[in-house]
Amino acid sequence: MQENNNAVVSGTGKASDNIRKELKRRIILLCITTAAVLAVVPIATIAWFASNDKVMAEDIKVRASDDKGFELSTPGEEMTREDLTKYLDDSSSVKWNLSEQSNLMNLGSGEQSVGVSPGTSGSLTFFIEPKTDGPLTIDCTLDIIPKMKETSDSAELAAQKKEEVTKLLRGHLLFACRYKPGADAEENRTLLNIRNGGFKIVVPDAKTGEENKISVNLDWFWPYTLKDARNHSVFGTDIQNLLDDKNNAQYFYYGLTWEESTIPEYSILNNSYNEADQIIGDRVRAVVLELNANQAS
Amino acid sequence: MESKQKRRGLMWKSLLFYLTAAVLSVAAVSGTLAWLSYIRQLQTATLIDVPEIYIEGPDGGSSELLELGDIDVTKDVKHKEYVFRIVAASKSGYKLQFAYTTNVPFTYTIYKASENNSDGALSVTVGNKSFYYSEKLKGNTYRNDNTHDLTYGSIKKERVHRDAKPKYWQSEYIWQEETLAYYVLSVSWDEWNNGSLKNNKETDMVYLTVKTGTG
Repeated sequence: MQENNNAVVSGTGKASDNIRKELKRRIILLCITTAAVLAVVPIATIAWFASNDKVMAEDIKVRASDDKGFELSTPGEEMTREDLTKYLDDSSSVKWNLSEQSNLMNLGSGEQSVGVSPGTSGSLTFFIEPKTDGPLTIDCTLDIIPKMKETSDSAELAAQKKEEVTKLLRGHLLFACRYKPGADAEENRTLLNIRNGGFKIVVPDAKTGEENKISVNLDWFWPYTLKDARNHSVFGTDIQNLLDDKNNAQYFYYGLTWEESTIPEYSILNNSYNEADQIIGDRVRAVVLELNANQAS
Repeated sequence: MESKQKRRGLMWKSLLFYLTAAVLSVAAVSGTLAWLSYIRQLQTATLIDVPEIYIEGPDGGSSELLELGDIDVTKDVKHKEYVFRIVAASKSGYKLQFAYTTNVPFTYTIYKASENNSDGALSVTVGNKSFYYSEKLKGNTYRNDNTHDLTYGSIKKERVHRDAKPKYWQSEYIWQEETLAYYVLSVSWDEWNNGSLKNNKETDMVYLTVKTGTG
């Protein structure tokens, strides 16, 4: 009995040892599994980042935040000029690759420091690739961000001048959005909102697949004179209505007093319009064009 | 009992482990999501060119070239040419403007000129360069009293001689693709002009300006 007891006692001792070993094994397994899960997460994230880095370098495709909605992609050549890339916001932006058709004078080596000026025009392109079939509405804005020349102005005055010139750029560097909402549909053309650069892309029957991507053109034109702005072949009437609206004066004219409800004389408007171009040229070294696209909820 | 307690302790520990792992993964993923939401943004940049346009002499020097006092009206050749050029930093549209008083009976004509001899029947040589021209610039001349106050301030209109009131000539809108465009200002006069034209001339003022835009 004693022996048995001993045996039982020793047996109990072995059993508890086994449990401990089993537990230890499980704990180790748990730890390994957890570590593995943790390892997978950063690796996946890093891999994702790395592949996205590639996207930024080649700008072939820009992944959307989920599989639904849409992707943006940009055709064309990457802008590499250092006198321009320094103005881009590295932290959050993706470079907009463009062709010569953009006429932004920002491609190539850029030994000549030429840019855009009144009387020039061009077209910027980007693609929308729908990720689900069905109706797709995208709210977009195009910001025109001035990069000011250096001055000795006080911070307050500099800020005020920047605000003035931001509005003048909106009214003088005009953009229109052009796209086909379907393979056989008529082209949709709209002038971007001069106050906030807003525009909508509405595709009633979006389809997935590379071949169904929607090519969106942002046609830009900087009219040489007020007369050229009023006589635009497509948007002439729309622009005239904007130009003749007192509430838009700060977007088109500089140094203009427009007190009464009647429109000032054409020669006065014309001079103020020219003056605005001069102010833009005097104050602004470069502009950053920033497109933001979000699926309408 | 002891092992049960240990087991519970271990359970708690492993639970904590899992919770931490879950929290970490969520943090990692949501961090990534925040990043993802940015990339529906595209950016590009371009420089802004200041519309710059200058009048220069034929060799790029100063444009103080309209020295009318030197004209010798007694010579056989009854005209004198001055070459100037318009320099534009980028493609530009402009109008040439010429304002002048008319005390001396000179006739002023502006021609489009070029260094290419097939571009004109007439020619003028400045230094070792020749310029060819034949095409008169189209434009309009104005003389009106609306500008009197700007020119003469408070002096009464009646007290200013007609010939001292400036005439204004303005070309049609010119679109210049190249950086340089040459022009010739031709000053011509008639023989003695009924005796009124002498080398000891009256004073006249001429202004040549270039105005960007169509206005």
